[in-house]
Amino acid sequence: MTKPLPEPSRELTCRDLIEFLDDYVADRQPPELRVAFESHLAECRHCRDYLRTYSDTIAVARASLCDESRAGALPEDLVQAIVDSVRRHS
Amino acid sequence: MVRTYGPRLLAVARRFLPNDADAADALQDAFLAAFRAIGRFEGHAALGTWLHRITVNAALMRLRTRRRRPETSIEALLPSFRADGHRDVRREAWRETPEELATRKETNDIVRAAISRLPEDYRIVLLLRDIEGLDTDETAAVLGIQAGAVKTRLHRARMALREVLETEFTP
Repeated sequence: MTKPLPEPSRELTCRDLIEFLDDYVADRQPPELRVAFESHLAECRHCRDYLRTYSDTIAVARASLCDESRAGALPEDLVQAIVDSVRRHS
Repeated sequence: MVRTYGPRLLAVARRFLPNDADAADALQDAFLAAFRAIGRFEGHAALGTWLHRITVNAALMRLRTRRRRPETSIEALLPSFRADGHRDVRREAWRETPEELATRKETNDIVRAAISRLPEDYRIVLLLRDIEGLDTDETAAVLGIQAGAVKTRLHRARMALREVLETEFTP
């Protein structure tokens, strides 16, 4: 399921950039493709904004869903159900 | 152990199973599995990390037993392009940074609702990789799929989530 790399001879399109954005963000692109990416990004505000909001998506999802301050104590009936279940099966 | 680790692990189960009763059942399954396997816990990983992995597996097992609801195709949530491969619609950056957004109470609900709109195969990969912190190979092993499929699904899930969040966070 490896994606074929864009031809090095042609100019990158927004579609090429977005297709390979995960590799760019994870810094696992071949150097020549990275140079082509950065050249496209320097010219294309659409893709600069897309790159930023792609990274922001990961960050905001992590910050929202991993907020452990929202985890209160377990309801007492659930604690008891777990303890009873372990006792029954041990 | 239940009182110490339970709240954090219940939050993990809820990320996969939004229904509270399903999440509580998954947590119960996880502790039962942990107590049965405690003799095999070798202490290489922290106890919390070991319990986290068991809870993720228990939640996935519960998820597999549920009937799937009708889903939107991922294609409908991906960005579109003109015939020449360039973007067809100008997209703005968001009006606030992720850190600013995360301080807002409603952001949590918006993000959860947006993630719940993703098709299950994509949502699970996004949760395992970006939220639960499993790497590509670990995710592939847990789901029984190829590493390449994990990478593709993760990228598409992130793009789809970005499109959904854009409607909320763009000025």
